[in-house]
Amino acid sequence: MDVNTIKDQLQSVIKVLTSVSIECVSSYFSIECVLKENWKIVDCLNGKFDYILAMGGINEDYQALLYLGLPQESISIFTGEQGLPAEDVFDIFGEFTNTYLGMLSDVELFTNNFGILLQGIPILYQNGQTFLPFIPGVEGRLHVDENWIYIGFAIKKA
Amino acid sequence: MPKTVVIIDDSKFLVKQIAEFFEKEMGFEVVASGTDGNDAVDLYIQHKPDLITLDITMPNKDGETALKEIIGQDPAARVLMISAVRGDAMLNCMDIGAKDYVEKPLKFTSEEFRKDFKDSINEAFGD
Repeated sequence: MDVNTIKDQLQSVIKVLTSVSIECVSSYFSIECVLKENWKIVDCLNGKFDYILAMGGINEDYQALLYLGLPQESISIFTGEQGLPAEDVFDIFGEFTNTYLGMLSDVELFTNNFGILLQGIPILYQNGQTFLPFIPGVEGRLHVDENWIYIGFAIKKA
Repeated sequence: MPKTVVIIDDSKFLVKQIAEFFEKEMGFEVVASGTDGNDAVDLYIQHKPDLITLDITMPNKDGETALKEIIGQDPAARVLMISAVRGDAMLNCMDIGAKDYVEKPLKFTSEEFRKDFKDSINEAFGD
């Protein structure tokens, strides 16, 4: 399966990815968030963030990466807590990525394209930029006023 | 005497939310909490709670394996699965002997979710 087919599939589920992200943030953090700009299909997820949380999702046919980018100042806005240590950031947002992947599996349009993805183990990176392979994905931000989190979802055929 | 519960989830954030619900909404006593399947089995044996909640995706030992061990030790154990995992996992856990399966996210701010969660807990006791 070539990259363009994956991109077509991602295009067909981009609204699922955005709507589930909004619902997940709303349910998980009890906070209202919005999209200020459209999410995009990209050849490779990228970005430099204060915190980066990555989790894999896998099944027989696909390997996916869910990727959160968190600026320091957004953490307290989304969690409602000030001065969280990295361990707690990892706990809270790791569980968020776990829940988000699970919620994607509830949406028929998503599972028709990619099946049910089993959650992997989340990893937190701090103060740096990760270099990701060229795997097509969807990326965008969710905003609470001027604060935001970045969400990226990349996937390839297994 | 309040009913007792052990809460098992690798997210301390969620353990705190779940514990608060059991204590404040259901009047349970949270006698222990743990973060993996090994904790689940050990704490169940130690405390013999009226109910134990189990996440599925956890380090060291997952919830499904812990469920099998707990039910193996005590077929009458009341186990409530709380997980973001979808698909066959739910059916597998019910087949093994879980009383119910609650899907994450846990929308504690939603009246409807709180009612459904209470119903699942009461269902575990045959109420």
